[in-house]
This record gives sequence, C-alpha cells and structure tokens, in this order.
Amino acid sequence: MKLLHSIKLSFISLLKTWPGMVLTYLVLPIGLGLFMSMTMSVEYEPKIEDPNIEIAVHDEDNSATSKALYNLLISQELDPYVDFPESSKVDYTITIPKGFELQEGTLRIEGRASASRSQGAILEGILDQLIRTLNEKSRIETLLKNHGRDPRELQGLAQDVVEILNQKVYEQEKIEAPNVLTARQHYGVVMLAFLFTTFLSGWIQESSRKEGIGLRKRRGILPLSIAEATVMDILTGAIICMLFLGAYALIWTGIDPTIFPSNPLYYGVIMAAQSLMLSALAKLVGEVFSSKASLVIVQIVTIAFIVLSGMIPLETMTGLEVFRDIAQGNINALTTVPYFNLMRQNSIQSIGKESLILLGITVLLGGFTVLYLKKKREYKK
Amino acid sequence: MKLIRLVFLRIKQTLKSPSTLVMLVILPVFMAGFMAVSTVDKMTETYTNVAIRLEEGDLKDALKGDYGKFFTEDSLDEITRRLSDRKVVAYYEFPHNFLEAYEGKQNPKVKVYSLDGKQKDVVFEAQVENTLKKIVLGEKLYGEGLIDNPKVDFQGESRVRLDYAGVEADGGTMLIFFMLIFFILMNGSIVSADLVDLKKNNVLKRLVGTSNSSYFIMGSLIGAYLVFMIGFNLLAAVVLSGIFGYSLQQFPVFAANIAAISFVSVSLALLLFRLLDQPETCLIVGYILALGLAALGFLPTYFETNLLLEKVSYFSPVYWIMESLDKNSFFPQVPIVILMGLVLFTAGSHKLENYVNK
Repeated sequence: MKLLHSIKLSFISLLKTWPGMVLTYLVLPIGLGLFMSMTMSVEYEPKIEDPNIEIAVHDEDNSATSKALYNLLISQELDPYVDFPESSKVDYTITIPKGFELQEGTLRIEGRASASRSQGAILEGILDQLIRTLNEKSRIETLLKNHGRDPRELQGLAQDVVEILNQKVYEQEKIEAPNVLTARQHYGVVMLAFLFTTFLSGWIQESSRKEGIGLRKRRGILPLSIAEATVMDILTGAIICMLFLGAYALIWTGIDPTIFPSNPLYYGVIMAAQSLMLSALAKLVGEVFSSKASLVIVQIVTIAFIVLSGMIPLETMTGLEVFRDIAQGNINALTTVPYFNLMRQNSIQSIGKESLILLGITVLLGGFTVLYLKKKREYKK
Repeated sequence: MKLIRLVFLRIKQTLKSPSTLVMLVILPVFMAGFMAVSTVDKMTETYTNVAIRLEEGDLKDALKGDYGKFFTEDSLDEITRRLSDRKVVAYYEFPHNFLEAYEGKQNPKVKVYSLDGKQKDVVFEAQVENTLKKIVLGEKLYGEGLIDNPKVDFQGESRVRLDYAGVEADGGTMLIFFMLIFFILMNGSIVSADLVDLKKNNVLKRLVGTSNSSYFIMGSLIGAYLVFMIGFNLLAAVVLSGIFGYSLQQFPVFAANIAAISFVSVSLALLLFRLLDQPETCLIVGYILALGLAALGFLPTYFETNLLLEKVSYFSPVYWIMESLDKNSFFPQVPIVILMGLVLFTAGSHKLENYVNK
C-alpha cells in the first residue's frame, strides 16, 4: 500500500510539470531513437549527385583514351565543360596530360580554394577507378594487337567476363541463436540505458528539490524512516522507468521491429534489473549533487560506459590491446561490473547472475544514499 | 572599458562554478580529444570483424594480405558462439571449389551467417569482387594463350593527383573543431540555466539596479559567456591539434566558425531564458534543440538525393558550418550563421530589462 501511495504521489508530481516530463521522457528519447534508427537503416555510400558540382576537362593529350575518359565522366552523371575559359568558374579542373594514352604523366585535379574537400576526394576516387578501367582495356587491346588478333575479340572476352562476374554469390543466412541480442537490439538496449542514466537523475533531483516525491514529502505524508523512504524512491523510480521503457519498446518495435529482442522475458528481466540499478544510482547522484552537476556526472559516466563496453572499436583505432581486453571482458576487475557484462554477453544465460549482481549494486547504492541522508541536517528531524 | 571590466569580472565568477566549468570546458575538450585519439593513424586500416572460411587457392592468397587474421577453421557452432559474444558480426563460408565453380558460371553460393541475417562487410565483399575480376580476366587471357602468367595486373598504379588552390583540409583538425562546435551549441542550455538561476536568485535584478546601465549589465553577462566560449574553445583546438600533430592551415575559417556558433549558442540561451523559467527545463530544451539542429544539419549526408530535406537543413547553423569547414570558405556560410544568431539575439533581448525586473 505504501508503495502504491508512493507511486501515485510521484505521478502527481510528474504531471504537475508535464511539459518538462513530455520533453524529457517522450520527445527526446523517441526523437533520438527515431533519428538513430533512421541513420542506421540508410546505407551511406559516397556519391556525387550534387547538381552544383562543376568540372572542366582540359585535354592536353587529345587521344582516343582521353576522349574515352571524358565519355566515362559523362556516364557518371558529371557534365564537364570541355574548354577554358568556362573552366575558370568551375570547382574542379581536370587536366589530362600529354602522353596519357601511352601511360605517361599523371592526371591532375585542381580544386578551387572554395571547392568542397569531401566532393574532391570522391571525384579523385571516381577518376582513379575510371583510369584503371581504361588502363585495363587499353592493355588488353595492345596485347591482342601484339598477338595479331582482332581487337574486336575483346568484346566477346569482356562479355564472357561480365557474365561470370554478374553471378550473385552471397546468400544471407540467419543463425538461430535464441535469446541473443543482435547488434541492433543491443544498440536499442544501450540507448535506453543511456537515456535513463541521464534523465532519471535529473528527475529525482528536481522532484527532491520541489518536495514532490522527495524524502521530506514521503516522511510528511507517509510516516517513513529515511531508509524506508529511500527504498520507496528507488522502487518508484524503477517502476516508472520500466513503464516508460515498456512504452518505448512498443513504439520502437512498431517503427522498427528488428530493434527489440523477440524474447520478452529477456527484455523484461534485464530492463527491470537495470532500472533498479539506474534508479538507485540516480537517487544517490540526485541527492548528493545539484541537477546541473548530476547531469555532468551522469554524462561522463555514460561516455565511460560506452567506451568501456566495446561499442567503439578502440583496439582497432588505437592499436592498444587493453581496449580489446576490456571489450571482451578479459580484465577481471571490470567483469565484476554487471553493466558492462550485460552489454557484452547479450545472453539469457547470464540473466540470473547479472541480475543478482545488479541487485547487489542497487543495495550498495541505496545504502550509501541512506548513510548520506542520515548525516544531512534537514532530514534529521 | 567599463564593459570589458564587467565582462572579465563575470568570467572570473563563471570560473568559480565547477559544474559550468566542466560542461563548458572539460567535457568538450575531453570528447574532442577522445575522438582525436580514436582517429590517429589506425582509422586508415581496414576494419572488419568477420570470420571467413575459404580453402587454399588463388582467391585466399590474394585476400591474405588484408584479411589473413580473419580466416578461420571453426565449426558453425563455434562461430555461433562468437557471433553471440559479438566477437564477429558475420561469417563468410565459401563452398568447396568455389573458384572453379565461379569461373564455370555454376553460380556457387557464399553463405553469410549473422544473427539477424542482414549483417555484411561491404568493404570485404568489394575486395572479393575486385580480386575475382582480376583472377577471371587473367585466367581468360591465359586460356587464350595471350599471356604466360595468369597473375598479371592490367589496372596498374593510380595516376591521379588532387590539389587545391587554397589550403589542404586536415580531417583530424576538422573532427576536433566539429566536436567543439557541437558542444558549444549544446552549452547554450547551460548558459540559459545559469541566467535563469541568476534571475531566480534576484542577482540580475540587483545588478540592473546598480548605477551601471542595464544594457551594460546584460551585455557584460552575454559578452562574458561569448568571450569565455570563444577563448577556451580556440585554445583547446590549438592545443589538441598540436598534441595530435594536425595541421592548422584552416585555422582562420575554424576560428570564424567557432565565434559564429558561440554567438548562436549564447543568443539561443538568451531566448530560452526568456521563454522558460526553470533551469532544468532550460537544460533539457537546450539539449533537445542542439541535438535537433545537429540532426537537421546532417540530413543531406544521409539523404543526398532528397532536395527537400536539403532545403530543410538550411535552417540549421550546423549545415552551414559543415559546408564552411568542407569548402574552407567564410562566405556566405559564416555570415548566415551570424544572421541566425542575430535573429535569436533580437528575439531574446527584446525588452530584456523589463523581464529581468519582473
């Protein structure tokens, strides 16, 4: 009954500041989720399709090969000017050097001072590929000529090669690994954990300060001890956290069915355990620090979580093997932190052990909070 | 002189607030430094976490250089475990006699196993395609008796050189500056929360009530944040670029962008201060706005062909800053960002004195 009453009070307090609640718990998480989901579902392939990009070709070679290169550029939907002075207005001037057909000289791309560096890099890549294709064709033609064969044979040869290369060789297979999160599902869980680590502390701090759902209110309305009131706050925070997580799960599953685990038991237990720990963490941070400081602390902790969880391939980036060890759980001290394990293991087998560790941490955090509050003068009465 | 003195007085006060200092200085520098560390040298290496099963032969020999450590003899059960532990994201299983069947147009299938049946490594697949092309072409020409060795490279070396009339871009410096710029925009929320706190504690009222003009007081407050943001971020950018050995050739453009976005951030803070009366609400609204503006600025990157989305992204200062950094140009991007700041500043400073005295 006390718990129900506590939850009711919390909801009343939340609803009193509903614009903040809507922004914090609905607009931001769902907006972030939608944006991240959107960017993850789009395969980003650099390509020049900007109609503003203008190139000029200055052909010093004036050979069949340089003309073929020009035609290939047109086939890439680039529409080059062919001569100066129009080229003075363009972003990039491509100079095909004398002797290009004879495999001599280097093709030069000269970008204007204000030309886009990223588009320039893409243009360089496209030209490099086109030249390699031309080289290939010209060398094979020369080969045929040297052997007294008709270069038209090349067409037949090319067609044969293309037929071979056109075979679709890859076949995607889904591996049945029940209760294991896929990369996207794992990402969904981490996103939720991230959002709640950040915002729960702000909420509890704000509520405490407003005497809405804080200890003073609890002790006034429900005659509770500091320990009881702390437990109530942690439980209330976890339950509200779970309610919102459930709502997000439903919304996101509707938008992108691949992002959440199909096994509700896995999701439920992990989320309940995480909610409890996060709520306890938020309670401690919220009581000890101001709302602004708690936001800073929680952001730093969250960044550390993401770094240490191995979400970012730091080993490859830095060459330091310690990052691989951290990501794979080979450092004993870190494997005792369940948050990392949850993000690494993704397995239903680890639910029991991990949940127990999470509960242990929740108790520890709650204990620290009670000790801190008992020393706080305003709660001594 | 009086205004400058007031500005520096305010900066001194700001430096005394640990949480503001962390949010405005330490966190952005930490994140920019972290991103810089993450991109040093190793970013150019092929990054993959796939497992490949392929029997010995020409294809494996050609791929060994880049993918040698990813070849495996593990069973599918062991691969499943590795997939579950997220040590690999996909497993490529080439069938027996793949190359022979491929060259014989028998349509052999490479199975790509993953947990969701969708993961793949596009870089690896592109490299396999390119290698297959070389092998097939070599074999064909060898079969025709045109060459003595089927392993001939007909494509040759790259013969393209790219130069700019202006300075070259340095990706590392761009990354550091972009991270700082993003945090500057986000820190508008901290500034607005600070202003709300000052108003709630009647500090602003008392300041406006002194012999100094209220414009001087508010100007010093806004100016202090502006000087603080520009000064610290420029210093941080120079130090970080120096540590990581990045070029500062584009410094004038970067500095102009940092100054412009700082003005937008402070103006946004002023507007939030006028609209909202709780510091916590300022923090969250500012945070959402910064993320929203950044997302808006990146829309064309993800939807290149969508002209409508590109037009929408013009409303974000982040879009113009990205363009300015990419093109190493001031015009028209930097003035547009400043104009955006002016719009916000005008809205935020309208009858500010009355609002402060309320």
